Amino acid sequence: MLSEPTVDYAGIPLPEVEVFSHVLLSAETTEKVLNALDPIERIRQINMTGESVPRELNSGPAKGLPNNHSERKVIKVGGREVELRFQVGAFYIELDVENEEMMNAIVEKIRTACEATLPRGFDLTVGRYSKYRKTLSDYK
Amino acid sequence: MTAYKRQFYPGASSPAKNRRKVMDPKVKLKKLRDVSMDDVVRIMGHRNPGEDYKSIHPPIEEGKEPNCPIRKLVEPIEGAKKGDRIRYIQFTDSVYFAPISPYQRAWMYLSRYRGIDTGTLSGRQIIEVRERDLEKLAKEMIDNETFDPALTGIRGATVHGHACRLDENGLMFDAWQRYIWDKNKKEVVYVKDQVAVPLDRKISVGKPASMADLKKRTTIFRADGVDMRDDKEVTAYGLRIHKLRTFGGYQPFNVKDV
Amino acid sequence: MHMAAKQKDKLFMDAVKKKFKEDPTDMETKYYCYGGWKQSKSKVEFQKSAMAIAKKRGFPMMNEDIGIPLGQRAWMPYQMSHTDIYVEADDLHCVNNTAIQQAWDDIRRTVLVGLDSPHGTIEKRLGKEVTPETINAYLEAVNHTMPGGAIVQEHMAEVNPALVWDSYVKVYSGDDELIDEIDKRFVIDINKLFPKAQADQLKKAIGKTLMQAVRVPTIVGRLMDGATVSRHAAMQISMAFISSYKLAAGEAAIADFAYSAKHQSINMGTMMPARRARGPNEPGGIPFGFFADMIQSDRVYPDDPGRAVLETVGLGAAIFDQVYLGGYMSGGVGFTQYATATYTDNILEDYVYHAIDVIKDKYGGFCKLDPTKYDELMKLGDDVNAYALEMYERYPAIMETHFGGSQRATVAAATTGIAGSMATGIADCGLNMWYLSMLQHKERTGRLGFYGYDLQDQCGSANSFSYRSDEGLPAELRGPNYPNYAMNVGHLSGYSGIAKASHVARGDAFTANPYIRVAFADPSLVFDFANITKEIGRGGLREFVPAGERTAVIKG
Repeated sequence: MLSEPTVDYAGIPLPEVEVFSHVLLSAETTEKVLNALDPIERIRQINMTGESVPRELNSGPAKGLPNNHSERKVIKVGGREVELRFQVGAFYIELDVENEEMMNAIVEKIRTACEATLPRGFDLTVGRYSKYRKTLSDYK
Repeated sequence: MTAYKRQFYPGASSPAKNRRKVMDPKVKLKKLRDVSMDDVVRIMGHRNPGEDYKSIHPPIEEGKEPNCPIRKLVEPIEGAKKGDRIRYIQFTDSVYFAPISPYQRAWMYLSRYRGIDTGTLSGRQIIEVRERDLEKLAKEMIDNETFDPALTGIRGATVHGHACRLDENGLMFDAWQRYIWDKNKKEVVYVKDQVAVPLDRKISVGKPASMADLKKRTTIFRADGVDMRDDKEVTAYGLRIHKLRTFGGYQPFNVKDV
Repeated sequence: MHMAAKQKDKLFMDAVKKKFKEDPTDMETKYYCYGGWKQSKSKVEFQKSAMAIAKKRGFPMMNEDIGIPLGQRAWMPYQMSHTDIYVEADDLHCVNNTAIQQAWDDIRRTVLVGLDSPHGTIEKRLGKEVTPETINAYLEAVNHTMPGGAIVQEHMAEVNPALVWDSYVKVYSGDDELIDEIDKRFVIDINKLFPKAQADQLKKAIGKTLMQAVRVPTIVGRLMDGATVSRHAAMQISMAFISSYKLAAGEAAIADFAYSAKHQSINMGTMMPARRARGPNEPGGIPFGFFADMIQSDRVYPDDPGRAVLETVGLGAAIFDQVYLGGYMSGGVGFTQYATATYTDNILEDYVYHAIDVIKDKYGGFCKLDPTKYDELMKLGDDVNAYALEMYERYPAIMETHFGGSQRATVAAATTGIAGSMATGIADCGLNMWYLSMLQHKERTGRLGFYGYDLQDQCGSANSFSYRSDEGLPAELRGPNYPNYAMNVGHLSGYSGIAKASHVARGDAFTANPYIRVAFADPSLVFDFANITKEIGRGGLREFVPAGERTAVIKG
């Protein structure tokens, strides 16, 4: 599990949009979703969660062999390469907004982006889902 | 209480009937596919097809068994006669309407087979048998209606997935991706054996059933399928067992109308 | 099959509640709760000042060259139930989390020693008078000796006070007149700490007895073992008597003080059989009723019985599952992930509050269900259990959070058991409902936990009401050491909650032992037993300051 945030912890619970897909996504769909989200302004960071897919088999008689899982691959987001380590199931989008109106406008843009890229369905909720302060794990 | 006709499982709902069916050894389970015995042996990965069975003791016919009345009473299964190793097959069954789930597997195995040792957990279910008998059993279990290519996994280790959402193709999650979706044929294909050692060649286990079909075939009660509480007899049976045990251990003299 | 049902009304989705600072100077409390943003927009207020703080801290703004920072994780951090604290699984491991450690330290280092018997010795055998003044003098003395101060003999080596700042002795009694005359610094004030109704019950139960809550230094329990605690207390109490009553140390009567302190005292953990290879006063010996009495939520939040039960389950998971079964009995990295299912992400919270609503709406409220109407009890169990199981089926997010069958089984059964307890006011009825849940869960889903887990649940119906020795006990007096409970993780937390639930539903001030109840109300304890999840969360945030640290004597 990655404990470090991609940007510094805000220290306060900034709003997060949870996009919870009804199915676990292929790398291809994940790439589409992220690229649809990429142009939306006021997104501070996106954390993806899902089921871990190891690069190599980590136990059993085949330990050490490459896993060759089709969904563990490098995708391109906004022209940048991202190596997926999970089969993604949800996106947590932290917003840098100043009022409710601004938040609602961005949430609608996120919803539109997801509707276009997640045909198998998703639930979208706004709240706080993840750490916003450091914990023990950040001091390893 | 009126006379109750003995049955393998109570209830009139489809999951109840399906449970009754899998547990009743007189019912022949439907064969939905035919994976060759050699391919079953490959997927299990305990020996190569054609290879001799390894043995852990001399054949019983050699007469070295101690003079034991129980041994005389119990007819050994074939693998035991020959001294085979005990090997396993393990299935992971998705919560999302897999055709069967772990406890029904245990009950089914115990009512249909001899000489087995089976273990039940929430996501996976193992069965251990003498190797040549295991292979027969495994083939039956992969070929028959208790198996679905998308929602049943053959997994010796790293079994995580029973509680996960399905993927875009409707397959249960497998961190080791032992089986893949063949887009063109719309079939599930094994590319690794049950402990994820790559297979020399792909083995198709066929097309997954539709969700509508699986909802009819499953032994699982679910709120978004058939709720257990909608099957009056199953509900009453569960409560009755609990009540009898409760009073049997507390006030047995008050247990009446059994 | 993809459950698109709206999740907004569910309490566990409050993890998802919008929370924002009300007062930027107060970093801990006062959030706006906003459940389901669409429904309660009016409650949302974005605090400009909070945002200003956030800006001042220097958020990296969007960088067009880099794009959106992307992170990946296997699963989300845990929200400590009924708090706004988010932590990771590792943060809740009992070896990492100092608050969990201190909770156990505070339990182990507590021994309750009555003063009635030694006062009898002083007055009847030694012919000296005991007055409030002499008691105060004794308390000064014992608060010097207990941390490790020498008092009688010369040339005695003493303990460095910086290592043992957590050690002290306080007294309490049901006798208000006596307590009025005792130095307030040494009193656990029942009238002040408890709501009046609870205080009255406790004082009546305790009567005129004057009880000492002895807190041996954390480091002493750590260096030796649980059984040391009463010995350390006895030795230091004897010394304080010798000094404050000017006794001759060599006199045979002195042995009476040590005897009463060692053998008439209340340890937190009862004796365990040799086959468990644990001595007295270890976590395996804590009866569920004693444990329930340590939890103080119903003292501080008397109008929220659900919270008291959930806090009991939470600490039960930390002490019994993580420390005892995961550490003492199993060894290895322990059972963190498993145990935390009961005190994180507000899932058990949602189920228990739902159960309370069902009891109030359909069964006439707490303690109104006649336990002799067993079919009614089963109906309640069936209703509550079905709700819990249905949540897993309707919400894949919940199913994936409790991805193991044992987690789901524990949480569903704890809910059903707590409901049985609260509806009847009888913990054994709750225990019986736990087993009803387990049997139904297995039947419904075709799966439960793992074989070792399921064993006790499949035979538990039969022993749930039995009081005969070797077959049963009242739920409050069972514990981790009860034959069928000694080995399987994931159960003891629920059983603790079930014992607590019946008594909070009744409005009882205590579950099994009024002395323990009062002893853990003491604000001088290092761990706050009224705010379990918050304290464990503070452990995760590195905010909790434990006792027993050795840094004071290490060259740094």
